[in-house]
Amino acid sequence: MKPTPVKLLPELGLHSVWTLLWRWVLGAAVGTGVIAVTSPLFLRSYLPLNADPVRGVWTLPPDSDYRWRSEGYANTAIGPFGMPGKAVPLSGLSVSNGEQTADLNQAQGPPSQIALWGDSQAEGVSVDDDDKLFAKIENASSGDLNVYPLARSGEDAADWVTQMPRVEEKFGIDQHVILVVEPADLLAAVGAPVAAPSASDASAANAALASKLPAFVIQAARNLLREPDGSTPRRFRFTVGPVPAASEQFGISEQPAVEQDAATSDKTGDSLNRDDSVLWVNALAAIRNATELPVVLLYAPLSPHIIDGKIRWRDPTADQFLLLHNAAEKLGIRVVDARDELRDSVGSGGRWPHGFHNGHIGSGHLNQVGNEILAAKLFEALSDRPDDSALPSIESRD
Amino acid sequence: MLFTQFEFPIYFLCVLIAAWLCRGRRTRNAVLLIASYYFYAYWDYRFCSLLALSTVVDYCIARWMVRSTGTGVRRVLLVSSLVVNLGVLGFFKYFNFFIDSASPALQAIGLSGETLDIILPVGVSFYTFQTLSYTIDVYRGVLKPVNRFLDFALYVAFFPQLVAGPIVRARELLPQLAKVPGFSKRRFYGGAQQMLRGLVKKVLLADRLGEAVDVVFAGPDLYSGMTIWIAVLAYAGQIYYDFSGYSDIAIGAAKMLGYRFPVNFRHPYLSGSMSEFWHRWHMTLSRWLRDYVYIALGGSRVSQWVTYRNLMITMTLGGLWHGAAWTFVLWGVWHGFALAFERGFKNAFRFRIARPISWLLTMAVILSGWVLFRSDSLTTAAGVLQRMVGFAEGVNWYPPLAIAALLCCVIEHVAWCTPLRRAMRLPINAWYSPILTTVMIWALVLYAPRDFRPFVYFQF
Repeated sequence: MKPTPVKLLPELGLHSVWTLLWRWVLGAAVGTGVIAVTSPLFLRSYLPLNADPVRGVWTLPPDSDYRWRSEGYANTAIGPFGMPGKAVPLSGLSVSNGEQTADLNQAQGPPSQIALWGDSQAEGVSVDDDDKLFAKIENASSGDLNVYPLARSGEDAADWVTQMPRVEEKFGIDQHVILVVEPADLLAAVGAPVAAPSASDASAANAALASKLPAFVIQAARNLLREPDGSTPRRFRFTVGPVPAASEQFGISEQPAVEQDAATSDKTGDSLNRDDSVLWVNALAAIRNATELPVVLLYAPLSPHIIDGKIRWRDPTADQFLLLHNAAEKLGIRVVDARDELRDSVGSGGRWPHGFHNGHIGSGHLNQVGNEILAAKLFEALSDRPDDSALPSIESRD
Repeated sequence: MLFTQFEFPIYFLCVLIAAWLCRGRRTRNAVLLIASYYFYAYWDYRFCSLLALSTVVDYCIARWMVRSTGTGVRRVLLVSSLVVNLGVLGFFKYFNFFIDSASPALQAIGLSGETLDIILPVGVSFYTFQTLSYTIDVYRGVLKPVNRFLDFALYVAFFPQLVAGPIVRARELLPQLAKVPGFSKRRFYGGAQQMLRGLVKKVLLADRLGEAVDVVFAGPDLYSGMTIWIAVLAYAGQIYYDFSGYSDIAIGAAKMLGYRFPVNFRHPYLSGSMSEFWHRWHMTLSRWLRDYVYIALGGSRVSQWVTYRNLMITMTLGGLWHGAAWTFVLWGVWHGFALAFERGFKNAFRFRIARPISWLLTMAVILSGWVLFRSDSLTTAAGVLQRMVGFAEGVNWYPPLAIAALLCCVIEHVAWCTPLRRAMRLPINAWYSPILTTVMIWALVLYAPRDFRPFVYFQF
């Protein structure tokens, strides 16, 4: 049979081709414009990071707005020193020549100044500013407490202990509160580096990129060039199968998460012996040595949690918490345990402290309810404050 | 390889260029055959042998069949084809199911009843049905056996429809493979648009809906009746967009290569009856079952009760085809029963039910069927239905993106009933086509869920 020759654009003349081409170029521009306008409804922000001279860390730029779009839909106004949600001018803080400074001596603030540390759970990702933990604590105290939200996603005790002395003087901090969700985060306090942010950091490059490109372009580039984890460069495979990680590729979970969790927990329990308590003592001693001020650990683990269709009531890090609690007692660090309140919230009222409708109710970050519970618990504990003289002195702690 | 993998556009572009550069039929088909086997080997090269076995067996049997004049010999040859093809399917797909189901009986007579660690070859249900349709058509004399092995091998392995359909019959595709298709700009553009639409359906709608479905069906006892209703509706949307999305990509890819595949879905949720549903849902499977099972059993040219029996058998086998589990079997039985009941009702009562009411009843049957289809056990299915009906108390979860995707499903179905239907195909000369095409491409890049989700029908 005689083959039919291939004709590209056979029915169109040159004029028609140009018209069509022009129409598609214009249409592509308009379509991109539609995406540019609507994408803020669905996409998170990409903001250039700012090297904060006081805290010595990279923070989101003050006076900017950050959009949360992953679990909950919320906007956060970034305040001075990169504090999320604390956008209003702080008492005793002034901004001059583009640099933020704080004058402790001139502060006419509330009686107690609290520095709130933690990771993304304490930062209040995906919740509105009024529902963040620091705001809820301030509300619960009716203005008796002024809370500085210094927690940042991905941070651990190594970051907290380096920042504590820096902010104490500037902000006039009276006490530190650390939200502990995963106790292992505290272990990083031992041997924490004291390096200030460097301009050669990758963060600086990201900052330059984020300030020049709109969020949807950055997101598109990330999606195309990175693996789903967001950090590994995308790799293509053109070899024939089977591939060893076929189960992962096809999204098949070979072991239910609950069992995995139990296994991890059991392993933790097995591996934790008396020697492990030394680890916790060392970790908390590092925190204790970083500040002379009272430190409160607010313990709020990921339970109750819905995992694979089952409610996990049990605290997955209960073994670690036990050691942590003992170590804290020795070092005069106060521990506030919010587990019962978290359980009661679900058990009696069906109000889940974790998760969002856009993510999964019952798992994920602390939501409005969770922040409210923790704020109430902390305020109650702080109101019932033990006598500071009962705490061991720094020397005796060493 | 999956259509939604990042490697696929690169692969497809290479195949497209190579295919259109080939001037001769033989070279073109050889290129497409190699590309198709690579497409399959990308998943697991070892199972290419099964594909090749099925191809060789049916090619040879059909050739022998046409040479032999005796009905007995032809019948033996047909049975041989059935044994080989259904044997492969039965072993890989149903062995463990039957052993597991018969385990108590086997143990009672002293046998171990242990299952085997068997990997289900991707697409085995689809290409088995395709090759069987060829042999049966040759046996029935409605199709002449193909002379060129290359054409037949390509018919069986042609990558767009290899792993999840549509189930293209030999008499539809083989004549197209016998010549080099002419290039048509409009067809090429139409194919590209259809592929894009399919990707949007799969990635933006089905996968979003799937996120909500998976969470709720992992522990339906936890959730409130309202949340379960949303999850069941979401599953109806997910499975439709997932499979019709795949079909669109397959049909579009074939179209870009110059071939025409049959339509597989025609907005099934507009159906006002169960028979209409099966004329709109997975149309290539339903006509396969009709032509090769239902009619072979006698169809409706028998007594009323035998017709009902035929419907039940056909749909039960259809259910079993979908998966080796009792939930699928029961899903098939449920549809068979509904079809039989509907037929009986029409025979007994001559009046017509108002369309909105019949639509509601049809949706109720379909949705309860999807509960069976999605649940991992009959107990789970019963629990889900109970919570739906009783609007049980539990965790209230209203995922906004899944609800938005459901709204898209409703809007799409409604728009299809209006003059907008033509516009939805995005004609090349329409002013809005470039804008909407750009928006769809951006949306795919920006809003695709980050976790990888295979097509639902791959497991079948």
